[in-house]
Amino acid sequence: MRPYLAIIKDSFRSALASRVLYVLLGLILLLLLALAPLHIRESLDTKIDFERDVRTSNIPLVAGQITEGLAKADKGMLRIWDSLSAEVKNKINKIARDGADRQPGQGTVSNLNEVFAATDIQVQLNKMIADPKFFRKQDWTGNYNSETVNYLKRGAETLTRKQQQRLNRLLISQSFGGMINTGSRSSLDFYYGPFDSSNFMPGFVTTNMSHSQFASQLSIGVSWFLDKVVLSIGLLIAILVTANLVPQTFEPGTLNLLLSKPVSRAGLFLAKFIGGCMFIALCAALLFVGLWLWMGFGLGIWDRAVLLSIPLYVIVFAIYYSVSSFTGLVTRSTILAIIATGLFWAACWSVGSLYAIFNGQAEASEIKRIASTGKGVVISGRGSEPKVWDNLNRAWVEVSAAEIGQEEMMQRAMFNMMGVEETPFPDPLGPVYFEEKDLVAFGRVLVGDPATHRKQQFFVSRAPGNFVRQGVFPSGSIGLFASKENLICVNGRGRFYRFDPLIKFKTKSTDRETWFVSAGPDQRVNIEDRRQVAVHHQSESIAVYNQGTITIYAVDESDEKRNYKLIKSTKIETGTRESMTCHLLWQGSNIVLAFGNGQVMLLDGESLEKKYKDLPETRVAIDSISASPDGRWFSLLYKDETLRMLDAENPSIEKPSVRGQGSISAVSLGVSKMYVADRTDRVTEYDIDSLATGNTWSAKPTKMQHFWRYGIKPLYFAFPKPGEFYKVVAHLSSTNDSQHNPNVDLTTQSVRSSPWSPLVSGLVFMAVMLSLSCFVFSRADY
Amino acid sequence: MTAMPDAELVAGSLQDDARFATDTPAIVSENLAKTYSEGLIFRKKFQALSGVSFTVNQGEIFGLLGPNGAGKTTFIKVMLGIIKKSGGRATMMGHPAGSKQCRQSVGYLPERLRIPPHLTAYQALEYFGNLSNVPTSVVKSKRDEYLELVGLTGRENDLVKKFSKGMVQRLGLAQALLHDPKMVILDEPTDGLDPRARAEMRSIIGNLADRGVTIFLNSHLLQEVEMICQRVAILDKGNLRYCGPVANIGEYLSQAAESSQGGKLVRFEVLGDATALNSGFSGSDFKVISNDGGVATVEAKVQAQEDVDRIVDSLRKNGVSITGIETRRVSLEDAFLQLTETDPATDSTDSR
Repeated sequence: MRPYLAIIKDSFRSALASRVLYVLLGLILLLLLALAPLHIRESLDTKIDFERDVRTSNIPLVAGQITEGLAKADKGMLRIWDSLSAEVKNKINKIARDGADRQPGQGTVSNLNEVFAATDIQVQLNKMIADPKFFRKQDWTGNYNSETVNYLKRGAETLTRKQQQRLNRLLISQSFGGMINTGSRSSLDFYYGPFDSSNFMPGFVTTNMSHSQFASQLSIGVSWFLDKVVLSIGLLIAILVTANLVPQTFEPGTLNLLLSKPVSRAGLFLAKFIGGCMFIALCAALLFVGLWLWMGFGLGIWDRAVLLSIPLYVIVFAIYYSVSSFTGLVTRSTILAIIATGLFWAACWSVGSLYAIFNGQAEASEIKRIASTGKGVVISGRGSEPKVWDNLNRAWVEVSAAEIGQEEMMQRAMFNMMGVEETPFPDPLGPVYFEEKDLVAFGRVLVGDPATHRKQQFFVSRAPGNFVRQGVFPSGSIGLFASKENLICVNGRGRFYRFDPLIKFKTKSTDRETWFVSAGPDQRVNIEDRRQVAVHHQSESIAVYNQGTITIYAVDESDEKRNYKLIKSTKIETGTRESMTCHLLWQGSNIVLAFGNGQVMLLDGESLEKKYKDLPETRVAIDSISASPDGRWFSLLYKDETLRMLDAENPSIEKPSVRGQGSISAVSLGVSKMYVADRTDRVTEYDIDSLATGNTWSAKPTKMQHFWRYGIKPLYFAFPKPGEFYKVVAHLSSTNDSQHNPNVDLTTQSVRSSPWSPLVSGLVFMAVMLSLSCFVFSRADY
Repeated sequence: MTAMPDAELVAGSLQDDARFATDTPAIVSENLAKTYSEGLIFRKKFQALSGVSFTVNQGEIFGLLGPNGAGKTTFIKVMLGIIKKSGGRATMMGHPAGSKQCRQSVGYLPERLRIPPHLTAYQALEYFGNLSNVPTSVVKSKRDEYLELVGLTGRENDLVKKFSKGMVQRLGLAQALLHDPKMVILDEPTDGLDPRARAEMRSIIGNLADRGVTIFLNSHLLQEVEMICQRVAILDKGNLRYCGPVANIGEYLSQAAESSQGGKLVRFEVLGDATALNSGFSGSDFKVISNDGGVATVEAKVQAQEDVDRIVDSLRKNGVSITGIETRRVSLEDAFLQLTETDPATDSTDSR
């Protein structure tokens, strides 16, 4: 051990001798010293700032408000008037006179005068706030908010200086009849040393917030700082100053002596490597401990992510340094070592970017819904028309329906390119298969036609033939369901509709008409999301889950219109908070609830008794569920694109051995068949009981898809991802671990496959580089 | 040039070794070979050592002599494991050459030593001592003694970058001794030093030898080796030319020179015209050195006394007067140079 420690020690000696360490430590100290005096104090908000407290359109009206208050002989306003300077009073009087003369519709010039006057008034008002003699009890007898009343009750004499000012501010604000906000109780004052520097803070820092708000804002800022500033500038400096350590060892005359010593070459190299890392660790420790202390003492935020950054930062550096050392070892050149490290950084960056681009593309073109028609399947993805399989060309082709305009195609392509998750228009409804009449139906939303955002176009076809436009869906439809005999549609206003193909219209043009007829119920149902609604395949009954309650509606057979009526409403003991996202499904005699925290509940369809409940240890939100028509099998598709099956007859959840676990984007259960879409656009048919593979529909991959599957994806997997280390920091610093809290809704959170994966892939890469270096070093002649 | 029976010489030296043997030999080299391959695509091979065999006994001062590029440094590097041998067998202090134990038991002063300039003499001793697995406390207790031995007392806390070349060499020698090695390998220890520094280095080496340390010395200077060493091996272009006591080296070299010339040189000083001279020397290998108005100096190569007699008879018969006959003596230095005439192409390989 002794020889290797000596090498590490020598690395430090040489760093000290070259003054690099001093310079770096000095720079870090300077940075910390510059930051140190900056601190915040949380205090009462005592300043009126029109920009913040008054709506922009109201600013010109401030002067008028004073005149108005005087006219009403408001005591408070009189006091304010008394305290105004003569100059400002003149201005206000002038504006009042002009206002009386002004004709409606003219007056941009006087408007400008009013804005200038408002600026003067603001200055005067703030002077009054600061004036201890401004407050006289007799002036303030109006109706004030509770904070003000509280201060008045305590008596102005007992208040501190700051509280008096706050009281003044409250009184003045309220004299303007709600035009000026009273502001939040607390505000943050930024001090640089003893100087209040709030006014010099850059515009994006709003001082008008509470400390906890500030803390959350700052933690975002800190992770940005760590990720961008330290990991880019810091790494660059670190690579530059350490690049010569290994090549330096290879100077003739030095190396021969080292190699003649009784030390192993691998040990020699690793000791040099560790020496470099420790040198950087020292600098990183100083920087981060300094930042941590400053944030703690100065800003009152003790963020452990800052401390955890020390080892992580050193590991990221070590990944780059392993490349630098290897190059230095092989070429014995500092310049080449730096260049190689730069190229490696560029490669990491490129692979990461390519992965993000391709991944976005692949996700955008994933199959999101499958409808099995008995003669095959109809699929649809995000922002695309439903497609059917063309056996001749072995490809998915769009169903034939009324064509879409060129402009619309462009707009859709643009949204697909952007790969946006949340599109500013609703998801198209369907496709669904309507067994009794052998019909397939879907809705279409045109990006460029806002009317269709509210009322989607309705298409229907004998499966899977030519789709015919049949008017529109009812306004605000959010769900389309197929029961055995009917198509049911639910809209956001809590109404149910039933498709009536035989409806007759008086007008010739039916484009704006709907073939759906209202089916009750009388009382409006609270529905926000299609996931809350389930339609029973056989009975056509509808179940709605809302805030922990399941409400059942059934068709009233005694009613001529067969409208829905409320049967019962039952509170369910879910074991999680009521607002948790929930998918509801009702098939056969079973109701399944699948929650955003990964919990699954199986209820009896009649009694709503709980039959089974499962809350797995590692939680992933459930993305979609589907059920076999007999109600025995339920498929649970999780957000990490894995599929599990719930067997209602023999309640248990199993992970079926189907292809593409981890890339499954849609599942549909039919009678004894299951259709699974994976790997972007492949659909496989399985027998539900035996899981035997049936048909597979998979388009021939394009060159780009090949490039993605066999090039980028494996490369990304194998490549270190130093740019993703902030995820590890974020994971470590998150105090309430959402993965284990059953009350956290994971639906909107992105799936974190493993927060440690950047660390693992980085360490593996580093180990490979170091082994390679040791191998080369051990074998070479010098 | 290759007329000397190498095998016989080596065999003879092994017999000599028996007198010195006290323990396991310090170095045993049997048919040691090293071939360098250079270039990534067009691999060019270069034979640096081609089957070198000799033995160095403990306690002796042994010199490895040869011109630049002869393979001396290659030999040392193979022994220390800095490069890998391509064939043969070698041990040092009973351990396989290049092993950790073997490196532990010797001290090494490389050619053109460079000590990290940011260290002081003390720090350098601590650093290299630690590298030889000597604890810092032991280094501290010994360092003054060794600095005194190499004559660096008073410069303990000076930075190495302020040292002259000789001082760096001496510090290098001190660091090679810290772990009490039984043998010290010195690669051109006096190279680039001024005469005074050379003399100092020689006396230090002598002191070391008195302490019982085996010394293995590389040099391209015959004088140097003659002055210090007890036994010598001569290496030329990777081949061992000689191995034996330093006292016999003169005899060997003149023999070698004679054999490389193809005979003894005899210088005749004669009076006579050119035709007479030519016919007088006809039948023997001769060269006219000077011919000044009938007084000529001619060198002739002879194998035996009969050849001299024959030439004398022939000269007299042709009417040439002989004013002097002299057998030409080869100086050691000339003989060494003649023996190891270097091929410029291989000159740089020694410095790897």
